[in-house]
Amino acid sequence: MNPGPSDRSKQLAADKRAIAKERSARQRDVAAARRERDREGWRARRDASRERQHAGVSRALRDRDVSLLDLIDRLLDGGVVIYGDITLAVADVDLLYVGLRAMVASVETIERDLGVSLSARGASLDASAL
Amino acid sequence: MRVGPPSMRVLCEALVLYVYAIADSTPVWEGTGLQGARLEAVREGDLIAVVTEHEDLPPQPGEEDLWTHEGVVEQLMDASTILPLRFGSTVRDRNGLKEVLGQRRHEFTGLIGRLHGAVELGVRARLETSERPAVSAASPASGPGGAYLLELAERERGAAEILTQIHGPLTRLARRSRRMPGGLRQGTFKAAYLVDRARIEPFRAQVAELAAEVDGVRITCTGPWPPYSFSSETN
Repeated sequence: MNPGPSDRSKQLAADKRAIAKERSARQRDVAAARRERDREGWRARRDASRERQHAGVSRALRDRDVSLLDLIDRLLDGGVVIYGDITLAVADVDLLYVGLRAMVASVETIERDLGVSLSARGASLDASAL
Repeated sequence: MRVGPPSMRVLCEALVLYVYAIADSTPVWEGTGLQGARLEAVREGDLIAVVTEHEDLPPQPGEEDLWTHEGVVEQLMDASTILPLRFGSTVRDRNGLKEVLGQRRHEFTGLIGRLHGAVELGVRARLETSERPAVSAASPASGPGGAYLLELAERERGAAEILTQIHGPLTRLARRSRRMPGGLRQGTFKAAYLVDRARIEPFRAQVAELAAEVDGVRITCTGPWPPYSFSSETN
């Protein structure tokens, strides 16, 4: 038995609803995928940026003890100084020295006692190793 | 030279700009500065300063802050010629910074001009015999005290000679060099060399050679660093 015209229109409406439902589901999936892609992209960008940001540092960190000595020499005694009334120290630089002095002293001790000689960026040139 | 007295009170009251470096072209960067703050450029004429803005800065900066500053400056120097600022340099606002850039334009441009294509390498050398000489009664004429002083003087002369042996060949590979006064202990040689990027490897090779040749000395080479030791007209 063939369905009557009213049945057919019902069927048509049902099909349309199903199609619409399917389409919106697909759109939701696409949107979700896009969001996920964006999130992944953002994560990747963040990680790349962090990695880049710390690239120089992490190379130096491998030998951070002796690098720290050279870092302190340079950052606290070198570089351009902006004079005048618009210049403010982040904090009392002397305090920073005091805080780091113990660490530096221990590095010098390590160097002396163990004959360890280290450098930034892994470019270690050590007389005792050559 | 130290930057002025602590001004924590002022820091807590207003925004400040923390300055990392000055460049003569737009530097390239990704990532953030101290306290995760966004890096920005402030331009005055042909000079560009890279800064972060802060409501207040850590009253007790530590090692991590030093490395953050260093990380930012290292990244900037990969793509442009820069003058690194001393750690802790801040200005009140953009106009204050532009004023500094304008007033000292000639100085900064000149300094950047002589840094193009070069990096800083650090060398530390330490005499392995750093103990004081033993008091001996060898010389009856001058007595044990005199012998001690003679031996001490002899050692100092020897140390000076050895350090010259190191400094000379390294200076020949550098555009500029700077001996830094005293280490934390006596018998320590400390110097910075401004070296063309193309000469970094020959310089390191020379250090290795010296380390093998010169007796009684331990040599360390660090870098490449931003040109912290060549960022003022006096050096």
